[in-house]
Amino acid sequence: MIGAFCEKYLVMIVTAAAGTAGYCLNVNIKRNKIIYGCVGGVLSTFLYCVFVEAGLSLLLQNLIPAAVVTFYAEVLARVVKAPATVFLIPSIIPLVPGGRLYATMRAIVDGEGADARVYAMETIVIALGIAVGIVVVSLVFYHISHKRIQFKVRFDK
Amino acid sequence: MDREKSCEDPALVMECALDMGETMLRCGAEILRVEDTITRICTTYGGGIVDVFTILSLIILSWKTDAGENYTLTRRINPHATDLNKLEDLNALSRYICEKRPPCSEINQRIRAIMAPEEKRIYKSKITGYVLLASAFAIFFGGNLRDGLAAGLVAVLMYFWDYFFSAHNRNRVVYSLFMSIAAGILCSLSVAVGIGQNVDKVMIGSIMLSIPGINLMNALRDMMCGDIITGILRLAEALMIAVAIAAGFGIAIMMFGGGLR
Repeated sequence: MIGAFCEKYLVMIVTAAAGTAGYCLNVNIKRNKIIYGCVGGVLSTFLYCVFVEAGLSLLLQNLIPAAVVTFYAEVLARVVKAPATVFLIPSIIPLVPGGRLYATMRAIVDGEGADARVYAMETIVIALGIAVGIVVVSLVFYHISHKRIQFKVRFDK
Repeated sequence: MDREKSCEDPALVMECALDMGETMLRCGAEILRVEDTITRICTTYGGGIVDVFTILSLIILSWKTDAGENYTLTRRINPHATDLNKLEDLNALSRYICEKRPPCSEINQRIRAIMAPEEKRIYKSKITGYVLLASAFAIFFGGNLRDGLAAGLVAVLMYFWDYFFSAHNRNRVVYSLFMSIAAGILCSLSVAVGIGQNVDKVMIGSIMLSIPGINLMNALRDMMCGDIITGILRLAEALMIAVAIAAGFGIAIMMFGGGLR
């Protein structure tokens, strides 16, 4: 079973690693931190493949990997001392619904309204899943780390 | 009054704090990070009460120092390419400032050093990035090796497009539209010539080049921290760019005879 899984998804995982590295170079992340982005990209793709195989819904397929990767990025940000965005953005890139966006546009151009609506809905659901995954985990970290944020003190001194 | 704390001229400190804020915002930081940095720098140097208001294109900083003087500065922020490398350096610098309290001239120097305009030349690492991104995702979404090759070639050409046209463009939506039209035409040509086999996969690969991922991510993070205004601005920009990309590729497909029967 593991063999079949590898056969089916190995190409995706390898290309995800390469693509993530490319994205890191593109937004000019420091060279010694590209590897973290790649690991994140592989992680999110691997989880995505596992959940596709497990037959979860479209929302959860993207929500859980996004949440896990956000956790990874926030922890790494505290270990390596860099903004979490540096690790988060490359890790999310393989989940971005570029394919669906294209399919939506293609269906509109071809004049197939019903298909276009289905693809557009899927694009929105995926984007929503990613967004919720990121927000839920980040919120936890936000509440842990921003307790000491400096609000101005004017009246209650 | 605390002598030790007020040895710097407040106007100078505010300049420094605004410089930090502006550069961070332009490199793609979240609003919370910017406001927090500015507040921390001001309170490190002079205590008092600091009010910062930041949106995507404006920072207003108002400071009542411990000596009882009021100062206000505003600064208009012009759009700039996201650069996470510089953002990281700036983040480290702000930590350094709040720990060590260096004189303002030193801060200025360091910001200049980080933000020094790079010479306009062809970066091999960027080309590698473009090619890797486009060809890897062409294969990721189900293309074969020849599609990857075609997407890579398109990506090299798109890098040169970026190189010649991206300087100082203020309207990223229109820019994305034209860039996608060009990319779509190139993709169709690459398949027509016979390098790629599936025009769909080649196009998906080059769509990934211009997808507004950072905008979307920052929009989310801003909204989550309660900066709804900037979150909406960034979200609107990201959505408009996404629509522009789709429209651009659609126009390119129609030019090559597909669609709208």
